[in-house]
Amino acid sequence: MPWRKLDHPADVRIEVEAETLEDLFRECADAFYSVSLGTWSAEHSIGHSPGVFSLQGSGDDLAGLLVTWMNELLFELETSRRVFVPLEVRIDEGLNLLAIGEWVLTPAAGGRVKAVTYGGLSFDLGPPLRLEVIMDV
Amino acid sequence: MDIQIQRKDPVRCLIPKTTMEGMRVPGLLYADGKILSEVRDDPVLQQVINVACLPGITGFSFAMPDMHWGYGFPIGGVAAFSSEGGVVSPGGVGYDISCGVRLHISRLAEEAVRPVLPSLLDALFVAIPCGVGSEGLTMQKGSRLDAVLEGGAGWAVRNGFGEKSDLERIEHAGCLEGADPVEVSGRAKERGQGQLGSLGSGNHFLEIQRVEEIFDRSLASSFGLEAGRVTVMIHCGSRGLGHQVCDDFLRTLSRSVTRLGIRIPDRQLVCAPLDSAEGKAYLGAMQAAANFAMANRQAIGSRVREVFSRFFPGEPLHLLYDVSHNLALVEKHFYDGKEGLFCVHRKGATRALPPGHPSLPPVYSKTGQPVIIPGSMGTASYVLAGAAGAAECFFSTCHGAGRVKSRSAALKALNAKEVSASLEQKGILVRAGDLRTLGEEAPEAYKDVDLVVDVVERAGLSRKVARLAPIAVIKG
Repeated sequence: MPWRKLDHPADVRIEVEAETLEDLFRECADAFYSVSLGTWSAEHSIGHSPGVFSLQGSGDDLAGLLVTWMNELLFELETSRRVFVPLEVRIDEGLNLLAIGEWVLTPAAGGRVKAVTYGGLSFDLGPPLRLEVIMDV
Repeated sequence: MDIQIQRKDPVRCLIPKTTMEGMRVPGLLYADGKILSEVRDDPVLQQVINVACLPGITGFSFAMPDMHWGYGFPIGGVAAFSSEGGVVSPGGVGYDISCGVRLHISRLAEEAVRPVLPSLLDALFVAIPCGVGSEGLTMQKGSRLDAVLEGGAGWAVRNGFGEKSDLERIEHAGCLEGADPVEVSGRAKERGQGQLGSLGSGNHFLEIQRVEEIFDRSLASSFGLEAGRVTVMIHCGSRGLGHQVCDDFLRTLSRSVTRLGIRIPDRQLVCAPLDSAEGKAYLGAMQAAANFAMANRQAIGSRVREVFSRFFPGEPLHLLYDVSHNLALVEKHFYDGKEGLFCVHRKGATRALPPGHPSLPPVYSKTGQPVIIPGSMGTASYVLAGAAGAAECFFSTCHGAGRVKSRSAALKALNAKEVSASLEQKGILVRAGDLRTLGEEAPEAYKDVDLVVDVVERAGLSRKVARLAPIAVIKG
């Protein structure tokens, strides 16, 4: 089970599971774009290019880094209409993240997620690694 | 945790201070038996308890009858923090800073509008940007965006959106004077620069309504409300700019609470002392975002007037009031026998000033403040008036119906087409920027707004003036 929606009265609460930290970050990206853009897929892109995404010391802990990661994806989608497809994710002990992948330009102007929140945030080191997070829509 | 709730009277329940270690005040829920049964197993009650643990909280951690699960603070939550030792928390305002609602009143009878309603609604749908990623009526960058953040609705009026007389019918005359654009990040400005004058998505809407029922003839007359007349309600906020301000300060303040040794039971409750540099920075940025929201609603209201004037030349569309339901304001209150300054957080709650309150605009000094309560798109909305009983909760009241059903559960019950058909059967026309939102925002997903309003009236927090029924809806 990579990710699934959980019950929430107003917004979108998801549970994400993965065997490795790198997979968890990729699954979080996938969940974010699925909720934000619905049925969008890379096939609907209007352009793409190789890209690198880095976050330097952006989270106080791994859960915070995941929320920051998703909010960075949101910012790029809303301001530049770009989706980042991560192919490789590296995280060091200082919580610095480097993701290598592809930027995909979408025809959509932003998505329906307005913020990825710390509300109800939970992170279980597992195994498997498990994250619960709520997205404001 | 098993939460013990003590009923104080038919519309008030207490969560004792002894419920959880760290609570500084009790929780006070405005709820009758039905509303309490709906939230009894909801995380919202734990959130009321968590807020009660924050430094400087005074009186109670309040929850209005439209309460539901929010981020950190509950939606429908009110908490006042003393200027001496108290804190400000972005979670107590929410992401959509100064999300709010305004009501325009026409002299037109529903019968005069019905024949042109489909084309009027189409014209509004074209004229008012709405839906996911919608771009606004005007692009403002750099120093021009800073002028919006400083000027609020006044900026909008000076730039051709609406009339100067509108400003006295907007909370704070449309501008929070402590706004500091320097504290708004470049990222927040980038998100907001193209969104001024847009509804956005989610639960935001524009609704054409008819005044269905009058409860208080004198107040209704003072407000210009007459049964059968058409009104227009607009519900939206500060768009991506406000969300980014909240996100930025959640990150900044998460480091502050660690440094300052403030213990919080939920990381979404990060906060800073009101007199700290971080606290002042957040207040400056939040007020700037609130000004953006008020300018946004003013721009949309102005465009609605233009469209109406094409169909009904010469007919005015007066503004009754524009009020926010997501703000933290430093206010003077007389509480527990002494006067003081408090930072009152209202998250999914509305300020409601009673007759004679010194902060009222002159036009409403005798009536009390109009309070606009949007309901769900298939039921009704309300106009209330501030009442003296609200002093117990720092002059606050509810903000809407409040959700009871999740978005996925709503979609399972009815899809967008079914919701649209069901509304049209009731004579309510619908246009939506995002069809998925229409299904998620089905009337069945919300509490009974009549019950919510009934509770705040019985508790003495506000008085019912009029009930408004939708006849056409644009969903964001």
